[in-house]
Amino acid sequence: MKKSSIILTTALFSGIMFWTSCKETETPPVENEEELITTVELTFTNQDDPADVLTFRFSDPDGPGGADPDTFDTIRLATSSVYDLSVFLLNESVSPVEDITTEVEEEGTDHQFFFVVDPASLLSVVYADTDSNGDPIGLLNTVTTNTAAAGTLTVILKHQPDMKDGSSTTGETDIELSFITEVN
Amino acid sequence: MRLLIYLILFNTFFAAAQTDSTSVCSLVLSGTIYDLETDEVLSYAAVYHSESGEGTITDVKGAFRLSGLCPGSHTLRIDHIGCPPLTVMYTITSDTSVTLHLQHDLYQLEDLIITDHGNAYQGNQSTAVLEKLDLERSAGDNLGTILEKVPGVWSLKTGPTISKPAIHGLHSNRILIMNNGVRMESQQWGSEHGPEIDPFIADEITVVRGAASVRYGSDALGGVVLLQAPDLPYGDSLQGALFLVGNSNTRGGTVSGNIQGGLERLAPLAWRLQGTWKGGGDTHAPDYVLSNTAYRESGISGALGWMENNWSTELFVSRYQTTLGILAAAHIGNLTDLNVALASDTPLVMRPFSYSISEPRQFIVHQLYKSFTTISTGDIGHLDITIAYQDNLRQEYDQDRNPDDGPSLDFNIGTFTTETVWEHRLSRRFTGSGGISYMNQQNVWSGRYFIPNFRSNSYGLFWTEKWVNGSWKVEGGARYDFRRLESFRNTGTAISTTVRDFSNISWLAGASYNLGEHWKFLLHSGTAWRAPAINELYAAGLHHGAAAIEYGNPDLVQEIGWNNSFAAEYQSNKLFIDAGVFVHSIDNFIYLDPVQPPALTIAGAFPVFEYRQTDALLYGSDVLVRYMFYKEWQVEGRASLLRARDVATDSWIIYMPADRWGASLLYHFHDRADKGWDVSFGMNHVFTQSRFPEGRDYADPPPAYTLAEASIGSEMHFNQLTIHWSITSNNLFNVSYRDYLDRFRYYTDAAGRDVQLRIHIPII
Repeated sequence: MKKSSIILTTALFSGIMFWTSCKETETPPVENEEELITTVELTFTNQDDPADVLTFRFSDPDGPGGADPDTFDTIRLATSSVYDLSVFLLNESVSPVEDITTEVEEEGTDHQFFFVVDPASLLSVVYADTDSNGDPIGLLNTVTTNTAAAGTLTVILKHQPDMKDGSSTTGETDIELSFITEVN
Repeated sequence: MRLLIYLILFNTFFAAAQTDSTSVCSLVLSGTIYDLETDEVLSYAAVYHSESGEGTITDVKGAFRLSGLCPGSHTLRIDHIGCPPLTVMYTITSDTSVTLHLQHDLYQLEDLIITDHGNAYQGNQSTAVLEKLDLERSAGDNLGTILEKVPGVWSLKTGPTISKPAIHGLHSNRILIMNNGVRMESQQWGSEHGPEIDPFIADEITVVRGAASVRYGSDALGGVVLLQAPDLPYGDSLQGALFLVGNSNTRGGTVSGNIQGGLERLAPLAWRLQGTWKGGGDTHAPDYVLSNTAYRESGISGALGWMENNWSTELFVSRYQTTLGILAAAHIGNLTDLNVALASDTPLVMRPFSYSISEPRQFIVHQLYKSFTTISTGDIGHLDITIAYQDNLRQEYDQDRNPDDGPSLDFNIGTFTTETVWEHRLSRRFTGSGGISYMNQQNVWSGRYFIPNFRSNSYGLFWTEKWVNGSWKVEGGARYDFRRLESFRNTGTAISTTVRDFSNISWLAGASYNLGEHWKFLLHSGTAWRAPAINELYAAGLHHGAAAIEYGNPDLVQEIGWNNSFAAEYQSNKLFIDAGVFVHSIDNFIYLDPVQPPALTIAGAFPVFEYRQTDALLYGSDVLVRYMFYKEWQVEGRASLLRARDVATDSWIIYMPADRWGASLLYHFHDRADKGWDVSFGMNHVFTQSRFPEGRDYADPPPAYTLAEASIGSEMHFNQLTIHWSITSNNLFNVSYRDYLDRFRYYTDAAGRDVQLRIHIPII
């Protein structure tokens, strides 16, 4: 009995010693975050002149932390104009670049953009799209500018699963960017 | 100790014929010794011949031989470990061969060899023990909650379902949890990672308060929590117990049962099977429901043991699994969200009560396989060999992620440990232990990066001795530890390997003095260390839900603590006092320091934290007083104080528990049917933490609070069965409060009243 117990524990020991030199540990996955939004692109198309397209970007290619964002444009729009604003979301940390916009559109009932303008007289933003429940999403908007002014346009994307109530404080914030904005 | 004395007068016809001339002292007395119960030969039995003062030992066949004997009486004393000594007298006139049977007291054997499965704490430090009855009163609670009853132990919570013990302010990697003799290894660096252990596997929990690295190696800086499984019932018939617990607050309950026995036909074999299932819905705060805090937990364990006279072995296997909902209102996106949450009186997400668990949630599986063998090394001691393997899988599912895509965070860590300890008694006054240990760990991640893959190898060598002389006990010991940590990171183009080595010598010195019948004083000084944890070295990224970006510091060195403690104990029939003070200085104390400027991310500005080291000084006191009066009444008072100072910056250390005190009154009586009844009422007061670094936290520590508790219990008799039942209420007055050490205090109140019904049914 004593001998067989020694054999058993030795076998257990050897089996484990074999496992401890496992190679899987030495080949970790590449560190990239899935479903990461690294880039926001705001495309303003002048309703009077569709050839007049202005694009402004924010980009933090490696995601939160690490290197600082490499692009944070200042929005420059013309006075007394009406623009169609399209918002594009991308994940540029992977190759090929991932388009997150369609995902947000598909999950439209769980997402809503909010645009906070400071000062309020700088420009106006009106939703131009809806989700399947009739609530706005904010991937398409109409922006109207007045006289020359400067301020900030804060773009907020909230994740509001089953809780869209029109409030920008409900839910979890996925995007919050304050673009310096000039109208002249 | 029973003393069996056989007087055997042996007459042979040959002796009668030869008693005259040839009585030269050359007779041989030989024999074979058997175990009375198993009828197997008893080897390594000591045979002491009183007349000559000489002795011999029976060989593997149980045989012994004494020669050169004179005709006449000879007294033999047979000693065997686990048996009361047997004294036999023979009168011989010629060569004689005898057969002896020794009565084995199996329970006595247990005391000597299987002392708590080799994982009892033998040291001389301030310890507190929660015994079977204490644990039965807390049946169904998780480990952190059970340990809160011990002075000096607070609990670090992440909402109502996740709690981990903090001994004298130190937690996570700074304390060690021993699961049935094996150190718990999982992702314990996470303050929101509760210990993956089913408290029902233990029938005794010992808390060592203070540095204990000499015996246990790295991480035993603040103390050790030892969960001890019950001894296997060798030779006993089938027995078992069933626990039923119901919780009103989560509308949930717990069922736990165990069954164990020996085998009549095969006395050396014993076994135990144990299982627990626990589940419940959302927790209720006094004013609202904490949405998505439901839980499901299950555990199963089995043990099989074989005991022989000189050795025994035990196999233990356990599997623990839990799915925990993470408070929906705590999952915030950025600082703006956090500020909205802080400004709100109620959680930002409040849904009706539900049993379902949705994202964000945690899923953890922890498996343990252990073999424990103890071998007698004669009278001087025994050798204990432990070999264990544990596998911990931890998955976190984020809120905005499709669960079909798999977990957002996935860690799998496998740990192999082995330890050989020689518990010995070198002389009448010197007992001690010495041993070697080895640990190999491998960690693999998938999903989102937070900590890297790593492999570590740790080696330890220790020796302690205790000298006992009358009222004095003095002990000393030392340990050498070495750890090599290899971490692997994939940059996309190459795999980089980083190697860090850590080594440390720990020592301890202590003394205790028994004064008269009642008093005992303990003085202890010792060092402990811990290697930096993997997240402290290599974490990188957004700590989701904490609105913070954390960076590890790859240059961190080990923390080294020097703990000095003094305790006084008084024990009499009516009064029990346990009071202690400690001073613990920790060099290279690792903490998270805010770094300027904040990081700009797509979701706004986030504070950035980096792991740094400083020198810390922790000191405090624990007091427990119990007084029994009128035979049936008992009053208890307890208090714990803690101060934690960052010596380098001359400021208080953040997230250290506030002082607290508690008192309770117990009444035990027997009714007319002679049934025992227990009634108790108690309260616990936690002060507001006024010692914290200004401007470092998102919110100031919450105000002080007082919670009351009451319980009533008795027994019921059904045929031969005695069923114990009790009804306990925590937070009796349904008080709204928040605790400084609860990470969810930014978002919600803590749990309101919980009424628990506990039923303990012994089976068979």
